[in-house]
Amino acid sequence: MNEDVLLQQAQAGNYRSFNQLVKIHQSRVYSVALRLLGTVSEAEDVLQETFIALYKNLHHFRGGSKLSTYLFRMATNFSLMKLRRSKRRGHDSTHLSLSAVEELPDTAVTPLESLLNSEFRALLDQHLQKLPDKDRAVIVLRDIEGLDGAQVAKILGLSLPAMKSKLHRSREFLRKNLSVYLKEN
Amino acid sequence: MSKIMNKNIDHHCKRMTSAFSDYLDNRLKKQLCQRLEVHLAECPDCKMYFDTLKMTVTLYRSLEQEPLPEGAEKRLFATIKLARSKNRT
Repeated sequence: MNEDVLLQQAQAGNYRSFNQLVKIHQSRVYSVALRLLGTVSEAEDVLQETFIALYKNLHHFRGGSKLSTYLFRMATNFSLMKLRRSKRRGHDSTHLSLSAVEELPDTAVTPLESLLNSEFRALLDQHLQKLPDKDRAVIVLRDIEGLDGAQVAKILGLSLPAMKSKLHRSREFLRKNLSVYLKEN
Repeated sequence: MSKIMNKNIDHHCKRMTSAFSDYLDNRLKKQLCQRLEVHLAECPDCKMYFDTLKMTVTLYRSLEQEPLPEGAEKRLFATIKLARSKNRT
């Protein structure tokens, strides 16, 4: 069923339609949160916070922006807030990221693809976690989730030139650090 | 490859690195595109730099979404159900 119809039905109080919207978007919301936070449990918290926020604000949502953009914005904001809070408490989330990645089940098809995929994913996540929070968010939203530059700038409250500068810098950082993997494979 | 990857790109080429990123996103004006393509054909260091940048971005763009942890969907719907019941009272 068309997403706009589901949204209208959910706004009219249809729980099934709301649940359907959750099913459509939950994986992408979770993926964004996991790549920003690096830990499975925190990403799941953000997943829940994001859909509760959608539920509470459902009647204010006018569909001017796409639902996926709204959900990305909420997930990104909740993730960045969590990162700020954990930094204030003096936690370093970097060391948690690798174990979180290792917990993930592998979904690739062949054993070789599976190995390359999981190895590359682990390496990418390791280096993503080394980027400053907003730089990481730019890469996750722009390059991994495929949002356009203007959407990413809006979600993160950045000017377009500032977003681009973070994008270039972060891509260069990842290029440098993932080159070893590219060379070996 | 590693020799070039680890090598410092000289100042002239370094100024081009942000243009490579725009080029990958099809955000460069036609005239600049042509200039950059000419430069890439002439400068092996920049060509290597651009190829590895392109490969990196292509690889992480092709990553699949992360699967939800076991039971996460069930927990999510339970949380939403709780929010609904709170909303009703």
